[in-house]
Amino acid sequence: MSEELLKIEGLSINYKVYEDFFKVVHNASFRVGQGEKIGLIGESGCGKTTTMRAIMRALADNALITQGQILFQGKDIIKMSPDEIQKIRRKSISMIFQDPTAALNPVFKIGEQLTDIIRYSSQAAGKHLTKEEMKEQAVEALKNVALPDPERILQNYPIQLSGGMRQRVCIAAALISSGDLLIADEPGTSLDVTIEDQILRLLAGLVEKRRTSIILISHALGAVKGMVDRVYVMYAGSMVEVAKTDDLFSEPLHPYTVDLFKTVPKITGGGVPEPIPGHIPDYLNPPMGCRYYPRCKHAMPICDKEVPTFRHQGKDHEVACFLFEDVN
Amino acid sequence: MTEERKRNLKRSWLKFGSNPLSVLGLVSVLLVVFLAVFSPWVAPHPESWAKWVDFKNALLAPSWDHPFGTDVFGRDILSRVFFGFRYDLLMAVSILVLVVPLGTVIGLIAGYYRGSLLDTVIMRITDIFLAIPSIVLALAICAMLEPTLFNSMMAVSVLWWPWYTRLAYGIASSLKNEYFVQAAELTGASTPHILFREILPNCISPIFTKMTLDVGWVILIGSTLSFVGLGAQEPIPALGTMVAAGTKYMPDYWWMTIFPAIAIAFTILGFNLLGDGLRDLLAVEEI
Amino acid sequence: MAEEILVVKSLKKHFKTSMGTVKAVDDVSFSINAGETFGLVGESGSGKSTTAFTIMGIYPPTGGDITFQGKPLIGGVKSRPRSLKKDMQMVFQDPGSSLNPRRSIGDILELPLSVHQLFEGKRKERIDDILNMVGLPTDFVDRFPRQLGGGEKQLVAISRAIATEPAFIALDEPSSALDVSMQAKIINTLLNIQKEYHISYLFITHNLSLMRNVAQNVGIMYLGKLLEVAPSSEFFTNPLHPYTKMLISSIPVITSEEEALKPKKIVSTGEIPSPVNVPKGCAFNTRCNECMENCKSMEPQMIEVEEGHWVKCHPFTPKA
Repeated sequence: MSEELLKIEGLSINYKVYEDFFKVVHNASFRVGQGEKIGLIGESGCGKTTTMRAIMRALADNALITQGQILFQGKDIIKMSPDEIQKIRRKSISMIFQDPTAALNPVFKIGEQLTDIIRYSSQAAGKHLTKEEMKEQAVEALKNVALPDPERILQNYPIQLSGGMRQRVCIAAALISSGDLLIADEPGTSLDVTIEDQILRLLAGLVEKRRTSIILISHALGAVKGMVDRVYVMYAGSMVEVAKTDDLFSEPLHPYTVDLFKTVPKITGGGVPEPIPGHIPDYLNPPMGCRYYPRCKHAMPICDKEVPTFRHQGKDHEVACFLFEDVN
Repeated sequence: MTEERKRNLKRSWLKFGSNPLSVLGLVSVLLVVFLAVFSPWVAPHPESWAKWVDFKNALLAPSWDHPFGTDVFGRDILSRVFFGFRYDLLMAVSILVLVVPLGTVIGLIAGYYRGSLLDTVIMRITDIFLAIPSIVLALAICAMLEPTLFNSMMAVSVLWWPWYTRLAYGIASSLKNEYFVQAAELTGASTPHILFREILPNCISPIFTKMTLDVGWVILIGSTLSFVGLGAQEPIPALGTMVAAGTKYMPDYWWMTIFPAIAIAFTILGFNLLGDGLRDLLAVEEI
Repeated sequence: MAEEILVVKSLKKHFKTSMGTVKAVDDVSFSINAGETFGLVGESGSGKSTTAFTIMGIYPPTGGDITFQGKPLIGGVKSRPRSLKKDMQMVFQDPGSSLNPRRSIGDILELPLSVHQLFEGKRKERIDDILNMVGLPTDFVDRFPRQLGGGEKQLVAISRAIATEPAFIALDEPSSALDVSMQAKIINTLLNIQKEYHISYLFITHNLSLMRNVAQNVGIMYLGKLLEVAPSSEFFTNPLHPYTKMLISSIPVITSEEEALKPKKIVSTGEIPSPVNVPKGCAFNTRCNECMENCKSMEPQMIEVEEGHWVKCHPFTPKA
């Protein structure tokens, strides 16, 4: 059993817009073990990115964590000092964003941006490197992500690279400072399908080799399937189901997961499925009980009144739904 | 008015109000406008606005009765400043009412036809006007014609329109490739429709902001012209004219120059702060 | 024999840039039957969007012929007859910029009606009708685009496209910017409208799973060239071109039946070359794992291998 690297317990985050409070993330729980690969799926607006940013303490100014804890290697990130968080960002956790063009500074060469990261992360580890050593590491980092002619790329500006190459640079950058955990937020969404396929396989290989944990976020279900050990499903700010990848896709339990899988068109044909009726809840006035209650086909009176917690249903499979009883 | 619209307006107001300088600007502008509009009734000595002499009370220092003192003819300067607001504001509004539509239309056309000969011709002419220092051009025009308020307004108009052309040009040329313009073209909408019903509404916010800021600047240029004697002549109480008239009596009778000058500064500052506030607001919110 | 509403023959659209000529669309030919959907698939730089824009007239074609309802289309939008514009409409990729933020939904929907002088005196009813057809409430007429979500904006864009009862609509990635559930709503709406009003669609997307269930015939483009055209089910069960096989094998799928359908052992490699430097011979030769000697020097012909299944690839070209 892998020891726990990251544990999020009961996390709730609100966004304040003028005088209104949007209660976006609501009692979310999340676990990542050492060396584990975790997938997080959910539609846009469900709070996935907010939760991940909370881990990095990179939330927007108007976001407030109202309850919960984020334990990283046993210590609560929410309570850490700015120095401690700085150290974590430089050495332990890093993030790959959706849009590689926006993640790279357009007016600096790739080499300059990478050496900056190398410098900070080695300082955090207490080492001091010379310019030559840093350049060597930069070349090495680019080689790791299968970029051809790394020396030339170090001299390029981001605009001179294609989207796929930029994303590889971002991955290289993230790998330098991610000793323990890599968070990939929709890394292939803005790329072509064949390039996305390459990027995901690259990530899988790298993570396997270095025993780094990874959280892969996507709203494309298939992208996640080939890559991760366990998958969390998120809806309207809460985690509704988690299971081992094969279990989740072959036997989804939560009504939302079931409905979600039905809306994906298949290459084997079968027509375009009907969407899930209704819409995501209004975060200003979210439902008191289960947030999927208004759209759920199996809704029961209790669902409207209480918030369901995770129940165990077999090995590593948990569901937050009143239809299921805790089997332990 | 829908609930949604009410909420948006309230939100905009809160955002605007969160910046004390913007509110200060708004209050100053409202004060100036109020005084301009109601000067005949609010001024303590309404007769002071034109030809009036009262040599007994000439050149009095500021006092309760004459808070800004009196001038060489015995006219109350406070009242003349109120009337001065009226003239300056009137001048600014007249100029902008003429210049803004003209400059904007020219800019829209040039921007929509960007890349064509028409665009080149229009924009190079615009560039020429922009290249000439505005004061020099205004002075030259006024010197050629008779120095009157009207002529100084004409001079300022001639050099003001290119700024709006450039503004409209920038927006029109960037919008012409947007999908909603292409959708209108695909549907078969006429060119006037596209220019005035599709593109122009998107220019309103920046133009309106610029107009607010410009009121102050137009008043400044107008006052400069009056100051050098090429604008409004006595006895019209244009603020610049008043400043000029008072320079002969500096420093002993300083109030004749200083108070009108402060009034000009106050007006420009007010419009600038208000314009800045509007610009900040419109950058984020859509009213 | 189904009636062909749109026939595209050897269509070319070239752009002159400072770095050379970009042959965005290079010798593309296909046809669409009335009431059916033709899908155009490809990655960035393939020229699929440019093809649609050229057919619609946003770009005047550099060469080739386009025939619509039996009549040739000459030049760009400005030179085409106004009556044509009510029969051909387009839905764009980005819902955010396809609606004028400064006009109300009602004004946006009224424009096509007033330009073509349709439904005189009954415009309001017509607008209510088309909003109903896409499943939007009629009180949207007073709203502005910024008050709508992405999916709703796209539904308005669709509503605008059907306002004049067109015979043909080009759809450029209509649901790509949206979520899976919104996508389902948009696509279902489009399919229902198509069935009811017998409209022909040119449907462009990079989402192959979606294409499979929407189009009757599919064409795949790469660097401006059309490499394979086939009926939808053929395209997926029996892909012939190596690029098609590479693309299908990269699709992320979630069920085991789909996994079984995917071609095996085609691992996608390499980057897409710049459109200014299209490789000589077959455009795909730099990434093809079945590349032969003559692929690098000679461009293959488009050959009909089976009824309705065309491919542009040397192994399928019969020896002279």
